Amino acid sequence: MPIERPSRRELLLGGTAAALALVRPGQALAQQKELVANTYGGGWEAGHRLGIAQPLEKRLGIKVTLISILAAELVARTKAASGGRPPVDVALVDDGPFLLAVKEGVFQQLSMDKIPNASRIYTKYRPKEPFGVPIGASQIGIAYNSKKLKVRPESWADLWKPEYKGRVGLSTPASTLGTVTLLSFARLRGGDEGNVDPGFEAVKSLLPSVSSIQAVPATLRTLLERGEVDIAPMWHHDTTILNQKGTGVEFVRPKEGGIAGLAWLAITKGATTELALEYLNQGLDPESQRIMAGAPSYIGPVIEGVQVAAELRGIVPATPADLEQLRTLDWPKINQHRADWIARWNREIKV
Amino acid sequence: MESRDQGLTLSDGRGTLRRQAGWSRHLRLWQLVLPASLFLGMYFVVPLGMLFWWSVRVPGVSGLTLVNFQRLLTDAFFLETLWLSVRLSLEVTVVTLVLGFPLAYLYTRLGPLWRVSILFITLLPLLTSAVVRSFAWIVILGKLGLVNAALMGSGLVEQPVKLLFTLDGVRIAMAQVQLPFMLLPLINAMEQLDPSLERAAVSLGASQARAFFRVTVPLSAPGVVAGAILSFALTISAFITPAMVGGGSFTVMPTLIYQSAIVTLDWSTASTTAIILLVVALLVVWGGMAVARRYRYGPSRA
Repeated sequence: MPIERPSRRELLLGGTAAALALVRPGQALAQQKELVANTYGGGWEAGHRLGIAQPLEKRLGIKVTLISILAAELVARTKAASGGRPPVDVALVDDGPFLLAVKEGVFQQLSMDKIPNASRIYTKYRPKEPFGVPIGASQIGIAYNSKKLKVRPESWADLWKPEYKGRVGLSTPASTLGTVTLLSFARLRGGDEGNVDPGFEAVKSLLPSVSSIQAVPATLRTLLERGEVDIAPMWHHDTTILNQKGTGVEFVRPKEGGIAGLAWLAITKGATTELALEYLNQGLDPESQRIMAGAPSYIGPVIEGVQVAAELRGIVPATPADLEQLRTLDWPKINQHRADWIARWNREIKV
Repeated sequence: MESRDQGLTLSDGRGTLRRQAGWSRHLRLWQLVLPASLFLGMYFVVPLGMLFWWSVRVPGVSGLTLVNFQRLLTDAFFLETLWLSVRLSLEVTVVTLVLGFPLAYLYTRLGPLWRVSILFITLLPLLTSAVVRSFAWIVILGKLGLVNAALMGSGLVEQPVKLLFTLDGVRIAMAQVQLPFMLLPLINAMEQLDPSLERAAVSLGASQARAFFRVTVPLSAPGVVAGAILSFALTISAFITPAMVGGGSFTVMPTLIYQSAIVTLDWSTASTTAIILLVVALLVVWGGMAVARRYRYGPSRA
């Protein structure tokens, strides 16, 4: 043989070693002083990078990696990885998935005295169980295209107005947005978390006006942007991002009040706790909260005293007066029934 | 090196010696696939085993149970969804076959520049993610999209045609992305064909069309089977395209799996749904292969 080639055994060993190395990336990460956190992508990612990751990297000399995973998927992946290395150290999750994850036991119990900034959190937003801290407040209201619709909606009930026929977009309860929509319709007609029948009746009576129903809220946002849909229940920050693009899409807080959604930061079991606690504390820092409340993330602050730009007042919930206008939902109760609601929606709601 | 081929050169069938050589050869081959086996074992067999395990368990109940299967398989909506998934995947497979077969035939008879263009255009969609592709379909198929603008601009229709968030829209979008999976095996099969076979049939008095259908089509059957299996399997397991291009207007099996696995964390239901989908898909593929074998070697030859 003219060229020295590796023996079969060497090749085998090499291949197996390479396969094993692929299986254990966590070890290498831990040595680099790296913290991994998820965001929802888009404005959230930019906001968390500017507001939390960068100040933390500068202060502690570590590396913070932000990856984009939606809340429900993150919880499922963390559950799947339980006992091993979790997909992230710090998890960003919505109310529903947060409580689900706490129930599954994938988050660490926090000692709040290790997060000094937690004392700044609005009483209304304080965690009932010490498994996470709220990092941002959002509200769900009505997004409508002011360039195409003459009449500005004022109430959830206005969605049924004849001038919006064929223009309305909805989300399925598989997303937080869709679950909240269903519940706000239920409340409009005398129902609540324990009795969602009026909500389903309301959705059915709205169907003649509905142009499309989306399983993915991001698609609904695209439809609003493209004018395929002109009015829809929507998150305030998604609406604001559309508005800033000059689409004419505006956010309306319905007169019944917007519905609050909190985003939570939690630390997964198996994470590097010390660094993760720093991340949580940094997120609640007044300056970080101020950065995240502005462009391009528009995430409502969870602590008092953060000023938002004039054109965002009433949209990005920030002041105690804004909080008065926000209604909260009973998520433990919602989680109990959510699977049934999704199944029922699959069966009964067809455009 | 010569010792390595012992197993092959001993062709006079002298019992044990040959078997021993065969065994050691097998062993050597197995060593070669060891890394791949480890990989498959860890990332395919183990997860599949876990799937089975979850499907015969109910949280809070000890022991194995079939209640998950019983509950789902007696649920009319579940069966409807299953049927929709199978039907949709079969339809998409037929569409890709109808589009792909002439294209593959053309490919084998064109020059290199055309060949590259055909491959490039059909493979291009695979270079983007399903999410990006689906957003593009929203732009193309929407009420105000390209297709409707063209149809209305040319006066063919008065009102926009509803394509986005319908089954038709999903069929179009899925067919586009599955086309290469049909086309490549077809091209592969057709390139193995000797063009002189078709010419021989014609010279023996068959019409051009008859030669095509009696010679080229049956001989490309292996490519059709391979392409159809790929296209069917990939369509029935697709989640993002039906969710985004289909909107929330109908439910397919992967939607159900996503809802229970991710949104409500009900892994027993998710696993059971996945197992049922897997078994049904395998049955359809197996049935298709049986039919294809009959078509190729069966009555038509007798």
